Amino acid sequence: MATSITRIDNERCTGCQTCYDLCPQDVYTWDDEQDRPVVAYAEECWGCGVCWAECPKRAIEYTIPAALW
Amino acid sequence: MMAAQEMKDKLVDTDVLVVGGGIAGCPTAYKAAEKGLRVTLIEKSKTERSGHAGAGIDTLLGWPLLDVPLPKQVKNWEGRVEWINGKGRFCDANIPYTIYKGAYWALEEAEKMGLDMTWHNGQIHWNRNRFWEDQERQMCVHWMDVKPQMARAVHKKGVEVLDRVMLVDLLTNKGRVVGATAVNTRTGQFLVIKAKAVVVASGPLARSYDPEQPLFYKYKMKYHGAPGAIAGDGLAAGYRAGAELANMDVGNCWGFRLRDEITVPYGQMVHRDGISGRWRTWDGMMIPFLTAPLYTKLERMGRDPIYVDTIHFPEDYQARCEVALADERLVSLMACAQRGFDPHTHRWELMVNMPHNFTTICGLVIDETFQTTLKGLFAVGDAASGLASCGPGIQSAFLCADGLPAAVSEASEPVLDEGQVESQKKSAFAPLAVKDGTEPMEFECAVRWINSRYVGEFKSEGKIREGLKRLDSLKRRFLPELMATNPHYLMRCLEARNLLELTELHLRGCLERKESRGNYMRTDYPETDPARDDMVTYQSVKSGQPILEIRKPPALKPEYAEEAN
Amino acid sequence: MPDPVAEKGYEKEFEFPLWLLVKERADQKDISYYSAAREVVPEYMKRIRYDDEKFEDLVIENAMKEAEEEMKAFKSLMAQSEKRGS
Repeated sequence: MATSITRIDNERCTGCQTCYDLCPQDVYTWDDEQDRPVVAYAEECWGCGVCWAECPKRAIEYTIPAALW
Repeated sequence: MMAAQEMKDKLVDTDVLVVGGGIAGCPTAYKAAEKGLRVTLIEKSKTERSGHAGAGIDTLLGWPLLDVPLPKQVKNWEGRVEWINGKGRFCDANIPYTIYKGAYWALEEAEKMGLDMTWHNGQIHWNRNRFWEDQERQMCVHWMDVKPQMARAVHKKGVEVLDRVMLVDLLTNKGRVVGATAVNTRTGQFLVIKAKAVVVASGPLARSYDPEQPLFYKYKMKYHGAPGAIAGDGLAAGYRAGAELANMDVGNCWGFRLRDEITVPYGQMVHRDGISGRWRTWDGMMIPFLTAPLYTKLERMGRDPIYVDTIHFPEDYQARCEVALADERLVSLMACAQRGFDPHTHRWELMVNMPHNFTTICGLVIDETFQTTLKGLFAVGDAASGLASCGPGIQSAFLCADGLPAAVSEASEPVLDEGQVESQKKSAFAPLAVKDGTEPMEFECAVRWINSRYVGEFKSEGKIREGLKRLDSLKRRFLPELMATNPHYLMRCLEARNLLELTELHLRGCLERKESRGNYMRTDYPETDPARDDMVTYQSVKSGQPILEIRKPPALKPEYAEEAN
Repeated sequence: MPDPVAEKGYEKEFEFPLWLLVKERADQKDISYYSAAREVVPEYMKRIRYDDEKFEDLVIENAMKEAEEEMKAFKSLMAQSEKRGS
């Protein structure tokens, strides 16, 4: 499984669904139980940064992984 | 969640269906609704942040000079296409004419839509581009939020916006488009859309080559020209329905692999208010604008890799680049640091300048009313042959939509062929029933690899034929086995199918272009064939048979050629 | 000549000034990066001489002079290769 470019800080996350709602690549799914986003399709993320920039709590960590170095 | 196959189809009845909610699709939908038409927009992603301009845009091309006659401007435009594609005409000259003629009207329409066309000082700011300043104007914009703004305007106008809905196929009856089928990429619900006009605004062909495909004029650290969602959906569906495509041999086939490098675009860094980034060989020799033949030459001399840098930019211009970065893709401001990039001392490597990085001239053939060769089907933005980039995307959108009321009133009540609907649904959902099949991304990567290996930079008959053979074999063996475990993967399966078809057209087109011209290079035909000057590849399917024609694109109409500005 | 390859410890040495300002504003107000950028970028632009055409003219002139000088090596290389017929 590919390393994810984005990672959610579940402590900061408030479950607003902005990232899940906006992701152009549909990389996220929603965990209804935890009320948190899940990076379900990490290998499809090309790192546009929309989720990172739109998150109201800046709860998304964006890191360039080795495969994309 | 209910299984997709058990859900009731969503039936939509509308006047205009716009496929794609990007920077061309949104103004199209907006204007059509403003004209009193019922409009439905389907967008594979989410309209607020979809398409090329999803994270923003900072420069709009396509604005004519005020004191130059339109026919001359058309010649300038053709000259810029030639610079990449080599000598000759590749598109219908009446299209840039129409765009240029209507550009400033479109600007007013954009303002009315609520977009801010002005700069920080409340005035329009034209980018000083000394390479192009006698050819065309480039407008600087601060459009980090253009997509949310467009989405808001579109919703407010009463457009029925269906996000997370991907086009499956077009519906036709008696030789005209009567609607489309689509699928919700999250719920899997099937949609049957009746429409009197369909406008394809789904962007260019992309993702058909291996990645590491930099956009020619731009800088960077491994940039991808098109955002990941763009995969030529509308082109493939249009072709299947009977519309003609042009320039699939030399058109834009940006490589893009979803599992790939971070792109850190640098906006219009390379032409920033009169100066540009500098291209250099590894050992520091400055070179002029790069072309594929020049890159090849330098490579043979051992002077690659080629780099571009802005080391010479004064601080004021470095700051302009930062603003451009923020306007086009905010994350790159942050991500550059992770790569250790300092524009004062570092250079970006220009990845191998693959010659298939053309000027987005491939796409659906349109006339100056943006109508394709299939009645009732229109195309705007990068999806249309002869249109490229966001400025013409917006301009074509308003111009096309302005003419839609006439097209809609002429159209009779759409009657759907239920058999066609059922067949499209069955074909679209097939991957959901496959167990232990092939994942769509694996299939897509196989297609890209065939393209890169057997077409690639240096083409030849033997390689292309081998590529076609492999593609056919891949199709027969694995296309029926594409597997989707959920609606998201169903979307990828549909894309994989589209990419296979468009790649096949690309290879067939390349086979027939027995020459070298501009960035198109054939080792078995290293010379330019004068017989192919102005001769464009057109492809369509008639009665199930693929047709390839080589003919001249329409020249500027005599009445336009004579017209003073 | 600037070295394109990675130098030891190059990571994290340079961060764009604009990024640092955006980050600071976002942390300060606890808002999204886009929200912070919406405030910070217009402020940042005030430092830039967008409306100073004379300044831009000078920058362009210098750049063109430098480029002309630098391009001599390339021109001579191409002329040589033409002669050799490569």
